[in-house]
Amino acid sequence: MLETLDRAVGGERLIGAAAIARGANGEPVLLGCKCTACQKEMVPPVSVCPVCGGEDMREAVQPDEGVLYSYTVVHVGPKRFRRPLALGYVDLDNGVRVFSHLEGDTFKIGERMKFDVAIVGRDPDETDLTGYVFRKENGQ
Amino acid sequence: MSQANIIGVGMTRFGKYPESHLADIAWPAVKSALADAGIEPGAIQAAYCGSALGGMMVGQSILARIGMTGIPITNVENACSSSSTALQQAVMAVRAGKYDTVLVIGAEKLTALGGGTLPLNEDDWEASQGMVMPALYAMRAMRYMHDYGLTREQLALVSVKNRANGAKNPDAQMQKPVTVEEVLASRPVADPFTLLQCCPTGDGAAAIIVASDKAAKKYAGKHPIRVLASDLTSGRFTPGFRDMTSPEITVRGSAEAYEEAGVGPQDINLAEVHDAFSIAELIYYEAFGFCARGEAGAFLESGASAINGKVAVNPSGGLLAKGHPVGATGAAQVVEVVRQLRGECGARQVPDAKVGLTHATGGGLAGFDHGACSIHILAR
Repeated sequence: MLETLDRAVGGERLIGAAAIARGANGEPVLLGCKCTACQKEMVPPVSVCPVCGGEDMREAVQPDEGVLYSYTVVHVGPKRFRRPLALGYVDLDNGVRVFSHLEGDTFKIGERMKFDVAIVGRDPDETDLTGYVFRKENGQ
Repeated sequence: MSQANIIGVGMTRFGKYPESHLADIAWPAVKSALADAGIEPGAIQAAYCGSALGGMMVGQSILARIGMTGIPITNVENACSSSSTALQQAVMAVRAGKYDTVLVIGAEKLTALGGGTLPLNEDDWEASQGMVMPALYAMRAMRYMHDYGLTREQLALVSVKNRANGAKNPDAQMQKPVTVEEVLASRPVADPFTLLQCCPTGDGAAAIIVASDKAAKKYAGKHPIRVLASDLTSGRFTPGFRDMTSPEITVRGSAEAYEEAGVGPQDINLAEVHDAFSIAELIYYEAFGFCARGEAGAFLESGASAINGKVAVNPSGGLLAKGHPVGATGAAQVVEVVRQLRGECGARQVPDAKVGLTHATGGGLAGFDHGACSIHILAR
């Protein structure tokens, strides 16, 4: 079993931590799961398959790249996240769709995005919130 | 098997009633529906009450105000489809021969929540990361604009049409018409939506009396409205690619409803659809087959969905203008369609309305288009 960030560093404020693990070289990877019955993969890891009800779910490290399916920049919602907040759906190369915070100034539907971990907000007690993000592949 | 008929409707104008108890917002709608049907309260055999956020025993608390207790009362929660689901339950009970006279209520007091976006389940994966309903619909809009070239002006036109309709509806929360320029200049909520492309927060209630053929003959002072279709379905979960420009739950639900009713999109004179945000109405034109995929913007611009158009969509003002106290919405849509089919709508009357539909979809959950969808097709 991979070490997820919530198991590794329980003290920090983590958002979506169940889907963030440490890869072979210690780098953060996006963790999902695969149902051994219906072969569907999904993010985050869950113990029972929401597609077929199967209970034999295996951890599956997800591709760290995908294509931006759609996005929006939100000016309302939970105050703990940055405002305005860029949110989007990224379609990974294995067919899984991931909801994610986005890093960058401008976005384009169809552009390639890369997985990363970053500060995504701050609670009223000044504690930073860490979560997974997708940012443009060219690093902007 | 008896048919189900609607013999009476009533509603409390949608608006903000922060000082009133939910039961006090709702009981006048019930009394109004009873009076409309010409039925005495003691003749009602059962009640179904839809509310999403009103708490426990909403139906009992409303009916206790007006001496209508001691009958079976079922409280129904299905997010924004709560009272349309309550109606579906009532129709099923009448068709099955269990009851001849059933009361349906939809009631909600969103001002009790203090404003802002609708609260979602905190344990939902996407909601825990900042997903809110405007963001979900906004992503549909962004993708639709990308795929079909819909413009911001066309999107804004949905609000312009529905605000103009709402200005002719005394039960609507928003009574002021707006221009495309005003819509686009209102404050940004979730790109591409500005405030005037989002339904307002509010309170309200609506009530419907459903009757068997036998009871409809006995009570209906006015011409009873027939329920041709009463459909309920839930969204299909998918962890993978999903076309956000086509709402799978409504596409499936509309096909089921048309089949049950034995009518098609060409037969529909008016439709009250779930325009929680501007893009939704456009996507639903296509889901109901009023126009082809990708043509909703042009369909709207041509006037085809105006009150005098090919199919009048949201003549009441819809959620954008009439308001959206979530649990009350489905029942209020039925109130409008019944009044239209009876020819009672004055300045916003759809000419020669014979067949109308209502559509309430609800629930923001990760992996779903929506959680619930209930569609009714009614005819005079």
